[in-house]
Amino acid sequence: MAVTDAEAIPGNVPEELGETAASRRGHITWPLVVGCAILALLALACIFAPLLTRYDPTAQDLLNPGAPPLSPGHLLGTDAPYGRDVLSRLLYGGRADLAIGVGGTLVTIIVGTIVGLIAGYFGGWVDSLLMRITDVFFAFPFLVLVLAIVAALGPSLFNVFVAIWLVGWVSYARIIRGQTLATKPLDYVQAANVIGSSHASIMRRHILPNVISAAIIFAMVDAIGNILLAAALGYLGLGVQEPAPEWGSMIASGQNYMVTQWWVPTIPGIAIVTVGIAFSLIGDGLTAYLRPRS
Amino acid sequence: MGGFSYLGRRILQSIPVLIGISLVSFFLIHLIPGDPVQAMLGNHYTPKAAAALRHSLGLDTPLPNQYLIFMRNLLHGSLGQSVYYQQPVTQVIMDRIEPTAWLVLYGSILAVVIAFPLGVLAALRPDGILDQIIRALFVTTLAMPSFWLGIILILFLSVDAQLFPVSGFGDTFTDHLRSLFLPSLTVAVGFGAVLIRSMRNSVIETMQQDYTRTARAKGLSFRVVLLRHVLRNALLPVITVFSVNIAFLLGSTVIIENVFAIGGVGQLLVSSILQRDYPIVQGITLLLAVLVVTLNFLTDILYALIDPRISYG
Repeated sequence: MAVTDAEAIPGNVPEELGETAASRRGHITWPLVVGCAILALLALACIFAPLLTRYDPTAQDLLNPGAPPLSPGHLLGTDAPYGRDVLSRLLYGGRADLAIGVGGTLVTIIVGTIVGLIAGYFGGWVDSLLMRITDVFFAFPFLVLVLAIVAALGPSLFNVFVAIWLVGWVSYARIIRGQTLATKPLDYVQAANVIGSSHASIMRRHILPNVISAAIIFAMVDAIGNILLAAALGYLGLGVQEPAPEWGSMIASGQNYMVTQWWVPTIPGIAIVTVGIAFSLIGDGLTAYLRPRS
Repeated sequence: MGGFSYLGRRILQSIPVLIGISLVSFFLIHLIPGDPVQAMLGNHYTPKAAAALRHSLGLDTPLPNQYLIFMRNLLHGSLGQSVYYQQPVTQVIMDRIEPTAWLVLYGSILAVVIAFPLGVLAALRPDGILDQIIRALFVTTLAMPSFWLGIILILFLSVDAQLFPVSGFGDTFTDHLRSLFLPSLTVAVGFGAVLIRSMRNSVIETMQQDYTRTARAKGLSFRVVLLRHVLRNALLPVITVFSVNIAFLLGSTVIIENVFAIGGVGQLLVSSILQRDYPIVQGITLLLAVLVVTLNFLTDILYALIDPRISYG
């Protein structure tokens, strides 16, 4: 989560009684299609990197450092001073960043949703306790807390995941709690209560479907934030460790040679921005699809 | 009278959060796998040094006791001793606070300078060409790694055009202004993007209010209405957005400090992580969180003072 961004969740109002989830779906719009297409293409390219490039991302070619893009055999050139193929590093490195974007976000949305449901549904001291905990986490700059946790656990890609899992759920807990509070007094929830449905079943069948879209829409902003975070940690030398490739650490190692080899730090940055724009488009598309009246 | 009870309640609300912050910071050091003392001393490990450090960190007592010692030191204004600098943590941090304070303030001012005109421009014709362009800029900046933007700015404006120094903080006031322009601009682009959107939405909403329509209907010029009626009222929600995003602002300065090597607290944080100087990491983490709580508190009070509609009750 880069930005505590309540405005990223449009139409924060649960739907009225009598509408089924299907009947209020909007249309699939172009941002959703384009965003998904960009992301799918990039993800496939990273997954099937061995088919697209014949170079090992860590293999050095000390006789050919700093080759410019479109050089023979090196579409995006090579880096300095090692002569490693930039395209290979970009594709293999993207695996780490995309994994954080998807894997970091997926776990936090699940944990945060459960916490938010429990807080909003049960209220009382459970709610107070859980919300004070989220207040505490919100007081820390997200990046600083993640840095401190990674510092303690030791710099590695896995520990970046762990740090995001430990901290990232709080935004979802807040969003889902707010939505649950607004949904709980609605007639159909009360009706389910009267006929004796269990708490778990009411939360799962009657509340969750009505509150989850806000969390899903926020997750698109959050995924960008997590990728930026992974890249920042890589840049600071606290994420993926050299010589393994990662977009942030590629920018860091390219920084020293940027005057003569501008493409080495520039290209991974463009990749990050592209992924970010794709997630933004998907977020816009999902908003139109999940909350058509907002 | 009502004002005091609002203030009192707001202070009371902060206390559990502050206790929580102290707990999280305290437990950070216990996240270290294995022996934290060994991790901190690294190559300098000797049984004697280890015992001394263990004692000075209070790690040789039971956990609840350790927390009490931590809290007692905290209330006495002590954050412990730096392992690397062999100085009190507060001293090491204080020595580096000036560049960081500069960056935060300078960055905030530039963010406001960028965001206000653009936010108003976008709001004048919602969904118009300008609004679309500004929106596209917003999406792009939000997806852009700040450290990358910083590097690109260095490349074009410092290395090629030689307008600004590549790094550092400078010695005099005008030096600071020049040295910190690019780092502050980098901070401002990310933070300003968030402000632009809230400014835009806020202005659009205010323009639809009855009092704005009345002011236009009675024949006041558009400029006068915009300045006197719309902007004044549109500023309030922006203050909240500013407050909510203070933590984000402080977080982004940590990275930017490292890109431009301005020698502030953020750079100290990262170098201390690499040197495994955990008391410093713990101290900075704690101080930043307390700073966020304090700034949130102050902006809430400011908001209550500016907006007469807020009830103090």
